Amino acid sequence: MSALLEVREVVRSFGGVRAVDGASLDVEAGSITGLIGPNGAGKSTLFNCVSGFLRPQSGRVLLDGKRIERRAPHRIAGAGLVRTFQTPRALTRMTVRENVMLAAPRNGGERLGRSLAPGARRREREVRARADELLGLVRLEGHADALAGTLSGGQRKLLDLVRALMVEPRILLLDEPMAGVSPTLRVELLGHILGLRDRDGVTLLIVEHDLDFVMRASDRVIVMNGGQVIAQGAPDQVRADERVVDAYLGARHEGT
Amino acid sequence: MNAIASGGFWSFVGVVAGIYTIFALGLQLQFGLAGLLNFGQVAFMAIGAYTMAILVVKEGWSTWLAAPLGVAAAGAAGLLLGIPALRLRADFFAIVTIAFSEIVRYVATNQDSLTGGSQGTIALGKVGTAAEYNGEWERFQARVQGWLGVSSKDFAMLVIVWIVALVLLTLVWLAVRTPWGRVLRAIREDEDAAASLGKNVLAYKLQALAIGSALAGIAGCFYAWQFSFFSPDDFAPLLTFFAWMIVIIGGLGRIWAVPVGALVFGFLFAGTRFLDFPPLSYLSGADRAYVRLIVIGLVIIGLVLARPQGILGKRDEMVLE
Repeated sequence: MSALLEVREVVRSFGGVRAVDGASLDVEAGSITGLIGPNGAGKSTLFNCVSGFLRPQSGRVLLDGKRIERRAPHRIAGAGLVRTFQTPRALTRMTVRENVMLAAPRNGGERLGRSLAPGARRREREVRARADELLGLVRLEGHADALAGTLSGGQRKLLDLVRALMVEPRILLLDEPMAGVSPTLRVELLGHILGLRDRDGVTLLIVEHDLDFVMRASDRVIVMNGGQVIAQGAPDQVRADERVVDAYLGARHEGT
Repeated sequence: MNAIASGGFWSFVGVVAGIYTIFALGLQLQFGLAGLLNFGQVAFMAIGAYTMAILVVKEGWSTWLAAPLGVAAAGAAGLLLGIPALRLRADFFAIVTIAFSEIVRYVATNQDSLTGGSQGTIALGKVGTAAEYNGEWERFQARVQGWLGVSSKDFAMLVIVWIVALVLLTLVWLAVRTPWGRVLRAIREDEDAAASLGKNVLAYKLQALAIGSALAGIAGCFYAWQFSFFSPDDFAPLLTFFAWMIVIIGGLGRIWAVPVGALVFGFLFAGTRFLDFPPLSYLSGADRAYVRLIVIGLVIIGLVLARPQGILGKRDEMVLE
């Protein structure tokens, strides 16, 4: 097993608060890794450090052995690490299809000088076909021409997911993919996520509060608390770990 | 009332509306499409006009070389301003642009040796040369007048300005429909989302800013030719807000809303000069000038109340969260 993503001793503080305080973790290629921890554990800050939206004050982040902690977000996405946000970021005044087409990589038409060249049209047709295919996968094809702002919260979550997939990521970081999604959709979403790993070979790192989902989907689970990684291992191992129970329920629970 | 009937006057209004169209098209690209709060658009118009005038009058360059250089200088100024300033958050960027436009105006006022100072371009060379540059533009305008077989110089200018405006509108309209334009709109909607999908947000913003500035530079050259000479006071911040009114009245994000907004705005401004019927005619001329501005303000408020999305805007896009 080799680590596709390595986080080493990352520190990021805001004012006096060390939101991430020397966290280290590995994400194996081809795996689903769950990242859990109570509110304020530093999960989202770590996500931002890994995806380039925040610069760590110290520590390293390696993607496929290359340091990325000082790269801009778009370059990290270009290198194959794509993230979604906790609250979906639909581009509301653009159509659902445009939202997905936007994310296509290697689109020469996005360069001003080449945008009106004939080659750009061909690539654009491919991109459109792929976007429709992905929208069909999450059953949003009927909304393709609607403005993304008309979608419900759950639908926006799905849109965010397929938009991220359009980038053709090697590793996908999902920030609470289940939050605000209805129970029926959750089952479907779980299926899609498992399919990404098994069928498409995408590596996933998922922050999620729905522990049931995390334990079912993950190959490995990493637990953070107070900005540090306090436990990691197979789901069953982590579930039994005393430090994890302490972090979630408070240290004094054993007396009751 | 004679002036209303004269075609010359309305040609003049049309020329100004055409220049405003080109000027506001730059802002539409920057704000309507890329979401950049540029409150200093007039600075780039000034840079285009002054660069052209100085090269022609003081350096003796050909108009046909000096004008493209003026446009390029305006675009380059946008780029130079954007490289540091676009790293700021949107509202701070807006403050920097308005400061920049005032800096340009103050430099033009005080650098007498370069710009002619507060007297304007009339102080650039000998009186005759300064007023008509080197005469190349006037000869060109006269030739167009001959081709068209019209007696009015302003009508020839009207045709030239609007042909250039239509070509530029078409080019921008084509460009924003490409994947390039889609990235710009995505940045307007949510730049973090665009960055997370691999788009180089800063590079696109710089492109939009530079192209929009170059468009203002083109408007600046036409402004210079139309008014023969100009001074720093012609480039007060108010002109930037004229462009803002034009894009808001026309409709944000829509390219063809720019000429519509510019024509409505231009005719509103010019047409209200003739408010000399009763009861307004009981007022003195000076009082009427103020009443006119109040009327313009009321009409614009009314337009925005009735159609907050602009004349060509889409209402359903305004209510989306």
